[in-house]
Amino acid sequence: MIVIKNLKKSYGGHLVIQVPDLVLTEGIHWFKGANGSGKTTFFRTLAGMLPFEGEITLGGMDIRRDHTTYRLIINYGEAEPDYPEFLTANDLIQFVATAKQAKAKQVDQLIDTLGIEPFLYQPTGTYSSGMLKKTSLALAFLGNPKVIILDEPLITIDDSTVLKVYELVRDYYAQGVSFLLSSHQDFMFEKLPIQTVFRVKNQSIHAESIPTHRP
Amino acid sequence: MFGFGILRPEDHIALSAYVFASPFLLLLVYGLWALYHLKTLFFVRQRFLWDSHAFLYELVLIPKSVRWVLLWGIQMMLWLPVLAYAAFVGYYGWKLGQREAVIITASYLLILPLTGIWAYEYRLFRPNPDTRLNQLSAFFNRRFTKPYWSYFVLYLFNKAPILLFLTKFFTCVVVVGVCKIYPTDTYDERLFSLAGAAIGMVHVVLLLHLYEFEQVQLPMLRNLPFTLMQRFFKYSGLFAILMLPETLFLVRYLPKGISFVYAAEWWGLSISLLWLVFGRFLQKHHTMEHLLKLGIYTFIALYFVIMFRVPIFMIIAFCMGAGIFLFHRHYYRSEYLIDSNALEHRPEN
Repeated sequence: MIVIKNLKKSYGGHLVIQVPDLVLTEGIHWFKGANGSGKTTFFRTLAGMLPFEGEITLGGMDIRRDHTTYRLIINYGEAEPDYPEFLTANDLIQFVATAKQAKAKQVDQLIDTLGIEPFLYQPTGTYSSGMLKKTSLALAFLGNPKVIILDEPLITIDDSTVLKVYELVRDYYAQGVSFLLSSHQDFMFEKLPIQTVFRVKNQSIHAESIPTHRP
Repeated sequence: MFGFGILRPEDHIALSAYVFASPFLLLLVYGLWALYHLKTLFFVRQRFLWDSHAFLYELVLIPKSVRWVLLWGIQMMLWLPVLAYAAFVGYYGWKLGQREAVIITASYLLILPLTGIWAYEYRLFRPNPDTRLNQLSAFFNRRFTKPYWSYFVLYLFNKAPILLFLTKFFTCVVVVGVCKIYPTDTYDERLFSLAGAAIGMVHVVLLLHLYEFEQVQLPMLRNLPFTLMQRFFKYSGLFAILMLPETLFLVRYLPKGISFVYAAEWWGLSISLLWLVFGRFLQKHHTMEHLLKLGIYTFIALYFVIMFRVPIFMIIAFCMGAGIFLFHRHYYRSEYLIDSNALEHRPEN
């Protein structure tokens, strides 16, 4: 599904992540790593938000050549979202929904599921970190993506929302959507059929065996 | 006060005489100042909510009288633009014999800021406020969804109002000035072109803000499936809105003998320069020092090109073409680098 070849991402000559060859098949993949290990940079690169060296294709679509269609089917949820403080969640959701060709029904469902309605029309400058996180999660699920990347999806949100995120991931996965997740907390394996666990360390990515992560 | 950059001094004086003589107009002005007052209260209230400003709540430990003086000082500093303008027109109102109205106005201006002390005291002793919006804002937020082009405009009003005001004040003065002096001597249309070039280059700092704003606060834009053509039209629309004040002033003060075709060329020159500068940002991350050099060198080059009577449409075509080329080639390759040591290396394929 996602094929990565000779990926190299540096900031000003400082190598952050290097992936010579990696194929991410359909499913749910969990990327683990210490702070600063390069997970977010890797995710943002896959989402088409950062320049890089190498090749990335998704379902045969090249991130550079097919930049519009590629971005239509890959969504990204920020770890620590920071939006312009004068925009409301509604402004952001409607803007992204239009771009990602999301239907009004899906928008309403996500707002309802994630409990965004009470602050939908407030500027994000008044939000708590949990409210910002819920907004970023809603944005990540909009449209008809093939891949959703969620960077630390469980931080700062309350327990009931955590369960709803699990449900959303499971529902979308059942519809054929793949997920790339990162989290410092352990995911509840009985709730998510995680296919592969990757360790991001020393500027590279290695697969780990799943059983070692089961409770 | 809102017309400070538009009206001539004598117009302000005439306006003050008229306003001081009319209770209705005076109330209208008081209303506008009250709105400004509310804006300042909201501004300070927002700052109290910032985590980085949490130390301000230690003010409750200071004796009440000292604290009140400090809070009054804060409000008076924010009130200074109103005080300065009121002193200016009040002086002429006094000279014109409207003493009663001037005294009432002065009382109003001194008493109203006192409400700021109460508002800040209230916030200091209630550090976890209910952050629900007032009903008016909520009404607009429910009724309207902000379009993309408004994001950067709102950012400027919220985060860089002084830069915005000074930039627009300067550029609009240049437009009006050129329009006024053109009929007084044997100038030709190159005068307008030079003004257009200067105005375009003055906008480099605003464009740096646009570049930073989108890279830092809206990185998701690059994950959205817009074609480059769609993005081009979105930015072009935004640039046209940024140039709206100058365009309106030009249309309003365009001297006889200057055709609207030339005015359109002038507008095209300004927009194409914005594209050229924005394209350069995408090509290479600039520090402010680099940026000022870029602006000055480009203006010098444009000065000679214009003075040597190179047709404006050719300059527009060159700047626009270069801007679009840079945009097309570097949009997805551009990257915001906070560390200035990293500026010289740009990972590209």
